[in-house]
Amino acid sequence: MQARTEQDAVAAGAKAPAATAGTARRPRKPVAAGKEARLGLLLVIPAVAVIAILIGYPTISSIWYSFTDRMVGSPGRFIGIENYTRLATDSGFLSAAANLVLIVGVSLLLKLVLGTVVAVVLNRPMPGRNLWRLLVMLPWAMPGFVAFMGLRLMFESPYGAINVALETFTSPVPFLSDPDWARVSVVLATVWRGFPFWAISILAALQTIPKELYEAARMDGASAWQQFVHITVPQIRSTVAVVAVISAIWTANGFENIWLMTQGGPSTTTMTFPVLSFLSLQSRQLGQAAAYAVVILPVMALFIMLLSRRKKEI
Amino acid sequence: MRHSRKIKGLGVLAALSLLATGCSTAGNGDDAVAADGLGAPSAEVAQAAKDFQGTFSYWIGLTFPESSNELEAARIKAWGDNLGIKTDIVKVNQNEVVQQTSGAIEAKSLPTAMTVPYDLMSTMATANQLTPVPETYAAVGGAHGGWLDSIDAATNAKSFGGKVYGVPFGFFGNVLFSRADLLKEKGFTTPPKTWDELLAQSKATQDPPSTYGMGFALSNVLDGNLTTSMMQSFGGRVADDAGQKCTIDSPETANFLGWIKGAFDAGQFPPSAVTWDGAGDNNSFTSGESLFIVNTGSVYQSMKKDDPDLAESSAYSALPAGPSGQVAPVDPRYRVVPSSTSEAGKILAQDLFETLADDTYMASFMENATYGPVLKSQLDYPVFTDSPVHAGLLEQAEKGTAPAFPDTANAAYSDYQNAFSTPRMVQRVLVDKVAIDKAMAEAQASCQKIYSQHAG
Repeated sequence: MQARTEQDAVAAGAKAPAATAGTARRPRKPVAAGKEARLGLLLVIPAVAVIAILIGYPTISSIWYSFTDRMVGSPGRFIGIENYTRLATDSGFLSAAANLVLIVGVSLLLKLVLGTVVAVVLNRPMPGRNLWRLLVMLPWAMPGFVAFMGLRLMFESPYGAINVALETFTSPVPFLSDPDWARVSVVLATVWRGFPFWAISILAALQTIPKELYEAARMDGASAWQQFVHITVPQIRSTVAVVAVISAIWTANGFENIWLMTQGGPSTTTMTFPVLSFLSLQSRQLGQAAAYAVVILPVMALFIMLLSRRKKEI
Repeated sequence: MRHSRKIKGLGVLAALSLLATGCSTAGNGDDAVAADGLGAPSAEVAQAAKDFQGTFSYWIGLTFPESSNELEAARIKAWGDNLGIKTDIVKVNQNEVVQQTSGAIEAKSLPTAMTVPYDLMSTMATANQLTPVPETYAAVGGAHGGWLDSIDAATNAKSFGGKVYGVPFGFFGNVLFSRADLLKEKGFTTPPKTWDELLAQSKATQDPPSTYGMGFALSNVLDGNLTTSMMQSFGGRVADDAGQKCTIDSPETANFLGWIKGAFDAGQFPPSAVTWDGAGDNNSFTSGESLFIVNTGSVYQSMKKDDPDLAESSAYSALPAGPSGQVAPVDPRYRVVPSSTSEAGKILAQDLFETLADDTYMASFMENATYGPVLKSQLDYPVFTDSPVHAGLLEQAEKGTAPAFPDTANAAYSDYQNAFSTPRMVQRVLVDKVAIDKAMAEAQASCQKIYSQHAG
């Protein structure tokens, strides 16, 4: 209906020049259009130049470095794909690849569930609703350094706050030093910091759903669950998809959550590509560090393609 | 109305005079020390000050407590004011100095002068990123009774090709901290002299999960590199004498890994030691979680202030020896001038280094900071007899081993350490439970990659 209205408006606009010939602009000549196009191109050059300098140059440099044995302060030599072939036997790389799936996948799932539940609750009338909305945003709003250092201290064993709280029920839980618990702790910390973004985005989507849809469904005898599945979910699906892709990119590129909590350890249990890259920089191996950063690019490209497609659909 | 104004005026005067008194009381001592010995500059330095363009930037490596950093910054500022040049002092966390310097090298934005650890000086010197400073090194040594032998040997290492690239001002050394009060209850009255003795004391005294024996970091932080010294004391070597071929994969390294695995599996380490950050071991000792830690002395400074009873009931001794002897490397800290600094800046920087070596200033600086002595005149500073930790550092200055010993100190060794290669190998065995042979083979491969890059 809306589309038809827009089409009608466009059609009406197209007829207008004929009706008011005296004041209407003349049809554009191809030369003028060409000039305008050139002007347009000229105007976007600064933006393109800035993007090329700030994004294009570092990206191309990184790709080039990854094919060299370059160290800090020295140009290095071209060594082909040697930095990449080494990855096959690199325990850190294998762990980072597994964690890309595990940490990103599980975090997204938990953020989706928690974000949706919180958004649905915050969408209902309740006393102090604005205050609750503000409180929910806090983990996302505070600096990452503060958030993850605080969480690290809470997860410490045996004297972290969580272990102290649990001491009457169990012996100290090695949250950060046991490989399995370390993964769990990192995922929980990542979810805690990231779910408010989901909650607030889904809340915004929920507020755009016409109330009439729910009223009609209720009159037809639909239960609350049926309303959620058949009205809410379809209406927020596009938003969730976009948020999921953005969140996946942020989580896959996340550094502070891992570095501040476990430095990728114990051993390489919670290793990720950004941390691997940083550790290589620690020993000044720019070529190897670049290879760790570049190898994740296809995955990022996939996420970005998904995001672009979703945006078009919206 | 008049009275009210009078009272207000008196109040303002009183407040101002109080403020002035407070400022002068707090600042007088430090200001006097900061400005000590600053006189008229030589003609060459005065000319350099005139020629110098911009701001003289200096990176100082943060130490504990903050008062030491402030004193150093005040001294540099006083020196700059005396010459009429503007100074900018940047305090750099010593755990991050490699990354920060690497970024500055790539961005061509190194400061006019800076303090660096031995490892970083070594890698920068090899890459021609530092200016040789032999005259200043000789002048500072000559004015202060000469350099200590261990420091002189480190500064004139073969890998520097006969050049001197930095002026040492102190060294970091490792001291074994032990809970003498708890150990005494179990009949141990002297600190352990070997790693096996330490393990025996640890097993007999610890009471997990409230108290563990060995509070040594096994994670990817600078403190984790203690495991390299431990490995070397078991006879393991990072590379051959030429400093080119890695030799980690050896029976001696396997022996070390077997020993540490035995201790870890027997529950001697706090479980979180494998993921500690830079302060993990310090916190473990001060919270009473660990019986032993190895520290440069900052923990003692902290305990003196916050927990004097714990400071009193702890013992401080040299690092234990392994089957192949004691490996207790001195880790000198240097003042260096990047080669990118202007000619006038180079002259000024070297004048600053001489100014910072002043004994009145350094005695006050070392009173709090936890550096060991590098110059013979520093041996007489009261702190090296008054403080048990500083006394330990003094002993290490005389008996400690050279940087990297028994390995060869070079840029490749530094990068091996910067990559936390030994603690990562240890973690593979302790956490991932991979076979010792496999962990050694992996470490050997990553080590050889670093050494080959430097060779090629």
